[in-house]
Amino acid sequence: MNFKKFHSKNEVNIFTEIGKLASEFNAVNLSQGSPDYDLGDEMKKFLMEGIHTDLTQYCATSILPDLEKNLLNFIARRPIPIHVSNKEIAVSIGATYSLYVSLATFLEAGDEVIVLEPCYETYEPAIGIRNAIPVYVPMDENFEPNWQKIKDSITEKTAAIIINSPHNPSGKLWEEKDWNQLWEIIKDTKIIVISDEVYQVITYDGKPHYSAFHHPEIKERCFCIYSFEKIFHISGWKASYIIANEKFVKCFNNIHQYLSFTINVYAQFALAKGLGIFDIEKNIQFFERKRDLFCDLMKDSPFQISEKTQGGYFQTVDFSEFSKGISDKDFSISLIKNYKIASIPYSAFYHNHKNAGKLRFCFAKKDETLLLAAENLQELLKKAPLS
Amino acid sequence: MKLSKKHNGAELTIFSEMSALAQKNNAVNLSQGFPDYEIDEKLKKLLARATNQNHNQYAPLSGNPLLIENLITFNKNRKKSLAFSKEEITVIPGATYGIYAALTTILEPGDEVIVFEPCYDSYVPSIEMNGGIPIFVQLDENFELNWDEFENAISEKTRAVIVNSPHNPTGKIWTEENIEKFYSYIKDTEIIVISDEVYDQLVYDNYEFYSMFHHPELKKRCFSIFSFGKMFHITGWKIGYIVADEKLMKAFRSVHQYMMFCVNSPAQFALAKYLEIFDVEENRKIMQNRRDLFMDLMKETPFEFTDLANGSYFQVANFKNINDKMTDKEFAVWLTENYKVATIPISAFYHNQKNTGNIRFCFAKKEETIIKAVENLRQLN
Repeated sequence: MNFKKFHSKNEVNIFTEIGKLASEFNAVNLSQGSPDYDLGDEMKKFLMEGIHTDLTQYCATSILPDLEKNLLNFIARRPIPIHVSNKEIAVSIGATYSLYVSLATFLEAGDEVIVLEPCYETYEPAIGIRNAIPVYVPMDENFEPNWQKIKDSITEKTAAIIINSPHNPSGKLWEEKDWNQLWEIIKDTKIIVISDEVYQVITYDGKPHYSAFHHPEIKERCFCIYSFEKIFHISGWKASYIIANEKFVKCFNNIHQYLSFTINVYAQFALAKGLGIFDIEKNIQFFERKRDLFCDLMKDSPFQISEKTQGGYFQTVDFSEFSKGISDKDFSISLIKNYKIASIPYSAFYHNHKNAGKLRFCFAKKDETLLLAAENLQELLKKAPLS
Repeated sequence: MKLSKKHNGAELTIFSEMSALAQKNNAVNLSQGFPDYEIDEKLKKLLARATNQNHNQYAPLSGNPLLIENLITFNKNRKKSLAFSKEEITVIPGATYGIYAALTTILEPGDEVIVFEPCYDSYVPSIEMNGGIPIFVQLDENFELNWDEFENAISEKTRAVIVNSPHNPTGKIWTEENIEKFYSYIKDTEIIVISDEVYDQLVYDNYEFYSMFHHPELKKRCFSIFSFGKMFHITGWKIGYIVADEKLMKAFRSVHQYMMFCVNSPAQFALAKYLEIFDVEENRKIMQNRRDLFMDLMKETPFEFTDLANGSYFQVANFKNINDKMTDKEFAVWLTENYKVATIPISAFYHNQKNTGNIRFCFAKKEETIIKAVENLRQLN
């Protein structure tokens, strides 16, 4: 009895591996993108209100009417508004799942999907599980898309391209001109855009988020994937949504209804209430302050920060000047074991695990956690470079 | 750019369709398998505690450690003990997902999967979306398996069989003998068994639940899928668990971790705690009483019953006495519109929508709902 291997990834993913090591060595954990602070009394209160409301009749429907209403409203009051109808959204059980289901709506065996590297690690397996083929295109040094390389990678078999902005791990944002460029390249093809926008409105320094759905042409052939978890700091609730044109949403729901049907009804209730009072600007300030705190603290560390992150939960740091000749994976493991700080090595975001001399830190943590991490790093400065 | 049809399932599941019709006609809804009574206050409190104590971030891939531990104990303490290790269980976002992901784990394009009809409506789309080919075997008039037909359906391409006990929609239960006999047909093959066991806690009268995982040989090649939704009457929570031997489970997790990763964490914590105080027997009795109340009241209606449901939320009824011209779908719609009771036509559980003269009632409802429904149905006399 044999099982096909659908993807080249390790059996235990890097986040699980690093997370385990972090708890084994009691390290400050800045690896996984899940906050360590309280989610706030409001969301707790809303969830409890939901628990004490009789929602049994809604157990059967895919979206709670209040959530639908408040979600449409939220989407319309983004810094750059998006106006959609209730037929252009769907609610589902997490962004990872949504990405998979989006791909499942159109991918045929043997289709190619362009993936820009570095990238989040579930893209390749999701493509592989659908018996399609990932085609990797490296980004430029500063994580800008390399248009020529993207163009060159398109074949007759290309069915989709996955874009991610704000980008994980680099935090890079796609600007309006990037979407225009992409459109120029794909307009005469049938390529569908899968746009991972889970960090959506969490963008810094006044830079707004441009969604694939803002583009007048791309909006007709994209799936935009969002996460409630990132904006409400509830990674464990597994709740997300997508925006796409009506036809795409219909196909998405047609698979989703047989794959999981609906999402946790109390979470829907709390999210509806939460969205009703959600302050986008305040949320940005909350994270921007944490980002700045982290970057400030890193000034006294052996790491280089070439650019502050533009969006999302993560800051990239470069250690290659400090410790030469060590792979980022080995370096990150050594950091955990010897200096009690856990981060994710950049090689984890490349299919060939190429060493990038960089680490990804999650700053969506309590201030005291960030301070403790910086303190531990001080120790590193006193020692000879790791090798 | 075309989005191809990935499966032959309806664009809108029959359950959504009938629930919508019920709402439109203000009918008593005995169609979909979700309870209309409130959940245990204790479980609500535990969920509140979970979120308050900050169980709000990612849970581990296989599930909340306390939930895993308590599930192992809970299963060991079953009347018929079911033993497995923590490498053999994973918490999943609902049984429907579990069935789909188990199929994803094992299927190659062109593989055949045997399905006994009538069956739950997600099986076939799940097979097709994973590139498999459903091979149908019809249960007989009494919803018993015809073993010869099963044998004939097995081919070199058969990769899996989906079984379901307690059965939806008929409430039938596989006995230990059934399972042994089933094994004898597949023992010389490498066929994997996907066993939908979501109603495991709801077996009535003197019946006992046997899992495929109880069988010493089948356990090496089956996925048994369970549901907290059905167990604790919380279908809106979308959580279940899947049991399989270590090798199968490893392959399952390798797919699951990239398709979904993990499951709602406050709910997992609440479920873990609730398992410690859950009264299996009490829960079973309450549901049996609901069935008995329903059956007792239904005596005053023209419906006929061949068999009493031995398990699950459902009772099948024959309506030929009332109308032998209409198809079961037409009858279900007619009944909803004119007598204000929504049910599910049994044809919905067949890929070819074959007319059966039967409809399915869900009795997992408040007493007053059941009474109101039967009151409406009495007008048929």
